Amino acid sequence: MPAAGMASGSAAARRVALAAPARPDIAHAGSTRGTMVTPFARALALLGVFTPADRWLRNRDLVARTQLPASTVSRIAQSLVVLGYLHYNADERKYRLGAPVLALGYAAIANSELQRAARGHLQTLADTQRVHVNLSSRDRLDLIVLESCSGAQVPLALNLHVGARVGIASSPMGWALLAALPELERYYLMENVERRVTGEWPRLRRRLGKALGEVYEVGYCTSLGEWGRELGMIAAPVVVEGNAPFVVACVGSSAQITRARIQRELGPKLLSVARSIQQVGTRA
Amino acid sequence: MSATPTPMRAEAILTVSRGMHVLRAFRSARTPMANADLVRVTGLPKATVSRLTSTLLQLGFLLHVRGSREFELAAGPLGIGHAFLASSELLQAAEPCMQDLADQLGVSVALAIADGRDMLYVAYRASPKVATLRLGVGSVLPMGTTSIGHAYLWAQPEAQRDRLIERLKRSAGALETMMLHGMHESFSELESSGACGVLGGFQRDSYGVAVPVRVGRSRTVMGLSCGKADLQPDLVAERKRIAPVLKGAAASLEKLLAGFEGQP
Repeated sequence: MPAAGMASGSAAARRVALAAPARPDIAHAGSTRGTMVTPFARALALLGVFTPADRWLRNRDLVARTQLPASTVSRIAQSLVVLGYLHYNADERKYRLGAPVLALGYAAIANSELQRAARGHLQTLADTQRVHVNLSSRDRLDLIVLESCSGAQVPLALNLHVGARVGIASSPMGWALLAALPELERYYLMENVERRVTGEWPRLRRRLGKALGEVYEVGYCTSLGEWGRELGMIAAPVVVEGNAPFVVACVGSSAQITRARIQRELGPKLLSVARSIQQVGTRA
Repeated sequence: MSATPTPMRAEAILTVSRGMHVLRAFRSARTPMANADLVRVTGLPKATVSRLTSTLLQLGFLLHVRGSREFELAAGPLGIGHAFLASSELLQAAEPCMQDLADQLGVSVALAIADGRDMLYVAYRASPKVATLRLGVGSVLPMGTTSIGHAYLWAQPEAQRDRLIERLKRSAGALETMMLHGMHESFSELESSGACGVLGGFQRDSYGVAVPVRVGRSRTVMGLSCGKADLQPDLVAERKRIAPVLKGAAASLEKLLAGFEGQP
């Protein structure tokens, strides 16, 4: 996995490799049901390796990130150039995304009423608490970030940008989502994770069990210093009738996100944001 | 560029373009579609469409609407669109200027590029007074019936404009006469005043007033429009109010973006 860090941030900012880049999972394509049109799948995968920090990528970057042969990558990339989805700089032999990628469905999600309304609530929480706040939903065995807001002067450079993915069983975002699912659906997903991770599973299952208990008891789950040593996250499910569940999460440094502060203010504030989003969704 | 055999390249282009055609048939909207709808809209064979939707489902670009045979757009395209927007210096430079215009006039402001028979919003800013128009970056609007499309067409060299209009006529069907009438009205407004206004071109009770802008070193033609939804708007009065301010803003925007590469 390449490190998909944000380019921005002060010299003091630490990069925390939490999220895999937004990449359709072509490696596992064979194990899922249904036929797959491989060149098309690869074209979408290629577009998916660009992150907000990459204006230009060279062929070798695309090869490293897709793990496809160089000749395949250049054939697919050239098709995308012909069709306008990539621009090619011949002098420096590098590619960037073209505006037509916006016509592939960006607006349907980004401009949904729920997301527009959520944006304001997330940003307020990020600003007043000086943390990162995001909204995510499930895509197969990942949580995919739909909205991401940072408060001013947040000392962490996180790569939880829009489109970034985190594993459903290995992050508080995923645990909060699993807690909101009907039991059957949760077990089905957990079985799938188990097949993927095998050796790690007993530990993950124990950790997940603890997190589910926390969500049932207080409405959110917490993780302090488990991923990045100096990172804390709390996450809560948002259940909107007639929709798949969402998750709101709040991320900051361990110095900021202490157990006392979670109980006193961060937890209740996060739950209030979750309720506000829920109300918008129910109205819409 | 590597010397890949041409037939292989041609085939890859065809396969990718068919896949994109199916994905784009959703027009960036929430409206669900079934395989049969996609066959009708794309004109592709049924078997091809179902292989492509199956691929899109597996990659997280589409999802099944619960309890139905229809699909809707999923979060897959979001990350790609976001990565593009976040890395486009041109669009980031344009946005403050567009926000000022939106606030000054109490409207929404869109910057769009041509995308086939459509206009694709690449930047969008709205005044806090605009709440009802559900459009934004990534929205896809028909070129033939909107003010922003007409402004774009009008600014094209004549031969190119005629080619585009021919293409739009082929897909307009029964609405051809109406489309052409609206277009010519817009063209004469653009001749006389430099801006055109269209009522209900995309959504009922909404209107748009648009001008062409030439962007960046390549002077790429785009459309810049102001829009709003009103009950029974007075289009003539609104065009008079909006056009001069919009033309001024378009000139400042051209100047501001003159040093950028022309493609966003």
